[in-house]
Amino acid sequence: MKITSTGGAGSIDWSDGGGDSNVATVQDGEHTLAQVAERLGVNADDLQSANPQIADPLRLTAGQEIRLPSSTAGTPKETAADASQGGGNPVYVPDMSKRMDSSLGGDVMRALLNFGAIPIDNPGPGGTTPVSGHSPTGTAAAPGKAPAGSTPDALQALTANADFKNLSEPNQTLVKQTLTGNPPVTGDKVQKTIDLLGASKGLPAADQKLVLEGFQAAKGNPAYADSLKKLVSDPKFTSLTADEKVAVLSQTKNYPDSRSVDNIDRMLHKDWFTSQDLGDKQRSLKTVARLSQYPPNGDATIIGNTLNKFLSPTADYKLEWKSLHVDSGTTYGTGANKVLTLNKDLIDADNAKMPANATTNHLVLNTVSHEVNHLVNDDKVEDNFKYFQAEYRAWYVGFKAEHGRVPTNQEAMEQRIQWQLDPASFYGKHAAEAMKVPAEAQKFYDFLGSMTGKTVDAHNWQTVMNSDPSTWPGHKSSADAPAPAGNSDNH
Amino acid sequence: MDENIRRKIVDAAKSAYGWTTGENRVDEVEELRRPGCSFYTVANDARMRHHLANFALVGDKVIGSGDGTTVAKILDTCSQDAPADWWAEIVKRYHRDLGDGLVLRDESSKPGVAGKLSAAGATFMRPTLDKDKRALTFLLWDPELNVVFRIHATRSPGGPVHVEKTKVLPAAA
Repeated sequence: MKITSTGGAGSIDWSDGGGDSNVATVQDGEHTLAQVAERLGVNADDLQSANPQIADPLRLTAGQEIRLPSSTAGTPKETAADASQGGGNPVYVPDMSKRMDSSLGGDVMRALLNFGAIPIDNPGPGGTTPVSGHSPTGTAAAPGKAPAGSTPDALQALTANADFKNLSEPNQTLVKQTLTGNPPVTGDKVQKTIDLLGASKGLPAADQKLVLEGFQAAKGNPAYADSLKKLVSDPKFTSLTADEKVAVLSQTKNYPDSRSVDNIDRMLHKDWFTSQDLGDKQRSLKTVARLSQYPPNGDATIIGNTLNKFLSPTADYKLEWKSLHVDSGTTYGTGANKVLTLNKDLIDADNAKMPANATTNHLVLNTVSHEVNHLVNDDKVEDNFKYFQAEYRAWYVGFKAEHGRVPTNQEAMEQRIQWQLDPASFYGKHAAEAMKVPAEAQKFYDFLGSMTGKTVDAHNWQTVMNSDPSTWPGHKSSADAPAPAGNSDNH
Repeated sequence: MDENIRRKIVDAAKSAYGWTTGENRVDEVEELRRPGCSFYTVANDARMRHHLANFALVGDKVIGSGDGTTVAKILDTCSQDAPADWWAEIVKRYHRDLGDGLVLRDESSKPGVAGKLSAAGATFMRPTLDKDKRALTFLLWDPELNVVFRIHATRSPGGPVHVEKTKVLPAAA
């Protein structure tokens, strides 16, 4: 079987390639194994374990073939597995459809699906700890409450619940199979499910379907269910228009992660969001949802701080969408006066999941943090080294946010510094002016010297800048690029 | 720079991009100058991470970047006896589908690219213009994505310029 992945995890194309290897291909814009894992919806550690031949999982090349973990092989995943549900700790959700005939055994699983009295007390890797203390007497739970006891008791509480009973038969099946297919079925998990059903019962059928599909995509995760319950109960949500509710619930389904849901809920409270039209709301929703669940693939601190600038109750930053592709060149985003402006031409205004490609990766995973770094540092365009450093810092922060590591000297030189000093670029014009002042020029030379390990002056700086990194002494090319001055984590 | 020209270009930038705040700095790209034609960049410093806007002064008319018809207009008037490098710069700067980036005129334009192309089984190529000047090919480095594209620009007699972008680095499978 051969797997060719062309889009998000939900679009994996499964076709029989005639071989017995299961491989995916690194796509444009993907640089790390973690990014591939995010797209495929598999655990990053498992993917790395399945690919011992990859010497550096942080430097992949488009077109490179990646072996899929054995637990993924032969079983398409419906959505991206949540890499860190519940308090931000990575959780690998086991693929129970695969395990039905292996670790648990088909009989056991069939019994579970039929609500057989077989308690599951194996939470799986990183799974939720079951609630201790079964209910030996099988005492019925109070109406609307799931007992903190055995699996059968917990499920009985579900099936006895009025809101569950009011679901259509297919929806009842979806809920039951989501719980039993993602053990352990704890009292807490069932209670959170019941609470979610209660909170969403007044929604139109199509909206309720989105809620349940999100719950299914989150594999019944109680943290997700709890977050979604809070969101649909929030007066800010209930006051949305019908189309806006669909937009919100579509992204909670597309990004089935409690962090995404919590941040969407926070966003509903921000004036800048409520003042956006539907199209821009859709763009904001998918951007925030995708970025929220990206760590640990990217830098969690930078991304968390970046989102807080817009979403915390006291945040005074604003996000807006404008068409910036009216001229030569694609501007992904720009910022000034606590306003981040992103290019609306690059993100579709719809309720679909954002496709993971070079453009959207750069905009969401990199540009947002890059531009916010300018805003938190109150950077200004000037003809001096300070401005050069500000652009380098913002690039460094964007790189780290996207890749989860700092760049090397070679990467910084080739991808950024040469361009920042090229007179054909916006930055280069200001650098050229700055270098007319000897004291400022010396700062540029010192900076280039720190990256290359070479002595740099007015006569050789361009030669050094363009020199072969393999000639830089002391393995400077692979060493970490200089840590920039200023706020470099967007706190 | 002639103050009247500078003012014309600034007014065009304000009109095209709404750059009414901050300084609009105008520089002539002297290496592109041709008889009756001169070329300018405008940098607005009101916001971080702005691009350079490109404007051409053709006769007494200011032309900003646009579609393939815009590019054809500049080429028709200004390209006589111009080398392939010049053509590549004009197409890059004035076709809105291309824009910011670096035309790789020779192997020193972007150190390391030639080696990476070779490793990927491709070869470096300077901008090339066919004999009847209907097809132009060049390499363009996109600094945002750190990607090298091969640009193939073509036009039919009297028609607009069409551009095709093909990614060559990082190499696809």
